[in-house]
Amino acid sequence: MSVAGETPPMLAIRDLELGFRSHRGDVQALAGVSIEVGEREIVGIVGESGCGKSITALSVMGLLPEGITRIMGGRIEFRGDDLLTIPARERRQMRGRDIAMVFQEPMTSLNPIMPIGEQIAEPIRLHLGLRGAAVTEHALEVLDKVGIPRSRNILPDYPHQLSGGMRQRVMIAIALACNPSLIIADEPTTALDVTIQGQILDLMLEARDTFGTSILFITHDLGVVAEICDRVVVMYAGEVVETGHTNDVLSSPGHPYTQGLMRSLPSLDSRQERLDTIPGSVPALFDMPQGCRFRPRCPHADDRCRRDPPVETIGDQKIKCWKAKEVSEMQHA
Amino acid sequence: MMLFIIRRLLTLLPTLIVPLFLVFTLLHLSPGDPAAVMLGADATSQQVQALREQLGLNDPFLVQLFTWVGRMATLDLGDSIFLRMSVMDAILQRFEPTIMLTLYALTIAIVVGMVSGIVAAVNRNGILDQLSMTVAMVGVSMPEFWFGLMLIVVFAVEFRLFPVAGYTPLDQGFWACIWSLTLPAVSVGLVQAGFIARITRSSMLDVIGEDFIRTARAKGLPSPVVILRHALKNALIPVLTVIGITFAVLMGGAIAIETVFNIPGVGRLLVNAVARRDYPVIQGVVLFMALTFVFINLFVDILYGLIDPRVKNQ
Repeated sequence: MSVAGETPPMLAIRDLELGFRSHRGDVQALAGVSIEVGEREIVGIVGESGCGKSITALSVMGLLPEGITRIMGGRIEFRGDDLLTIPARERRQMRGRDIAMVFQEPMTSLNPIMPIGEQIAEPIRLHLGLRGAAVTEHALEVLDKVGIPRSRNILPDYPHQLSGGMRQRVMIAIALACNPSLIIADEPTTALDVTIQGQILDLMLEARDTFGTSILFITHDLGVVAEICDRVVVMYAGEVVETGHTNDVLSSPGHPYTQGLMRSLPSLDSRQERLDTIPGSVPALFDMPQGCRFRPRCPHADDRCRRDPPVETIGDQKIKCWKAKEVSEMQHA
Repeated sequence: MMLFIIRRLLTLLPTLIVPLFLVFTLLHLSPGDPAAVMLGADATSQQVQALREQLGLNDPFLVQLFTWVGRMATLDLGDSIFLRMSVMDAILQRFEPTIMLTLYALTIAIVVGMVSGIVAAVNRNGILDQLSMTVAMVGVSMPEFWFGLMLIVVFAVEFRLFPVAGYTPLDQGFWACIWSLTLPAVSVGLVQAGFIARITRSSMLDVIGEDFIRTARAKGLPSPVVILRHALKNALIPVLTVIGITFAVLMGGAIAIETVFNIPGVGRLLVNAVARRDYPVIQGVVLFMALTFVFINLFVDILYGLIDPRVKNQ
């Protein structure tokens, strides 16, 4: 579906609408989310818990919980093909081969009773068609790439014998095993020690640099975003409220929500007694405010905000706010 | 692994001592004099006294207990009072029908129970789930002997497909033996299948919600591989526990079913022994059952260790 002569982006989520079925009827969890990830690009999705970032990732993987979620509109294009319309069997075969995923909890994301080697071997046999010794050889190579050298052969080990950091390396090895074009990482460092976090982030950067993998990186940590993301997408209550290059968004956040997130970061050079917080909490899905969804918590809100805000473009930044221009001028003044 | 097995074996000893003590004590507290029973109504009190002396029934309780435990330790279970043979021989003679019925019924229970449990879990809240869980509920609520009688009425009397009762020993041919046991095995097996189906379903549902199942799907593995290779193996431990209990219960003699189908098994031996106050046989059979329980549990424990590497290291 791409314009002739132009390569479609690796991943383009367009106006994705998704609903949860609940005892109070269907509620909207994603209200027209659009996110693009280009070739060799690392895009971060940030937002509070419940803003819809994980459910967005699972929609791309085709791993939404059955029965309780329903995609109500939009497209998820992978290299121009709409993933939502291709047959289930083909979709399954793309998982692990074209699009792979790294999950948040390395403690529970590996099968506790299957040797590590076998868990890495599965996608290799399935997608690359290798057999016998070639599978082991390939598994060892991948482990080497994620910083588990051959001298430490962990193939026969079980997950409980490894540390959290090692397990996350194994998870990344499984994701990288078939050299996918896109990796979706859902908070891969959240459950790890800070020192290990850095190593895992370096690993993701390396994967991009050596294999040209695109990465959609989901996190709630702006520090992590600053470290590895080329572009960032800020989500709030099932909507994208701001996108732009990481540096632009972090240095001059346009949306009041992004500004709030920035202010609630601890900084080393200012000696604040307490950190700023954003007052209030994320609205419940079945109780969404009319117009701008951030309105009840926004310090700048006025009557205009009762209507759905437009998306303003300032430089490279796209901001879904009535006051984007004013707020940005205020900042630069 | 060897160390794991040895450790388990050592923990068995106390498990055996307790039933031994209980059986001995209970029998001695219950009314009725075995010597009087053996000699019949015409016996004089001198004769009864003499026999009591001979059987050691006049010795102090503790002396009797220790003599008995000492004999048990050398696998000498004593002689039956009524059967004119040693207790060991009596049990061995009744062992074949019981083990054959048990294995046959257990196979039916495992196959039917696990398959319907898995199907139910995979189609959670679907028609197949509700159907198989309703059938399982009916299964566990149904008395085995009644189900057995119904099977006799339909398949033996009406359609004449299977014998009404009785047991064909193994030496008359494996299939003849299986043939004679089909109705009792189905009646016991399907009831037990109900338990296994329910535990398989709930254990599978727990596992299917785990993160590593999502990982397996994210690898692109086909559903049957995810379900059987990743989910089922992890769901197996509670299922194995129930299968172990079923096995042990069946080995202890499906007493009602052996009576309904007139199968000369261990269960019938016990019932007859209790009716006649045949102390040595009762004690022998109960000891045999306790041993069976203990060894089946050991076997199940070893299987745990084989399935889950974390069990061994505890």
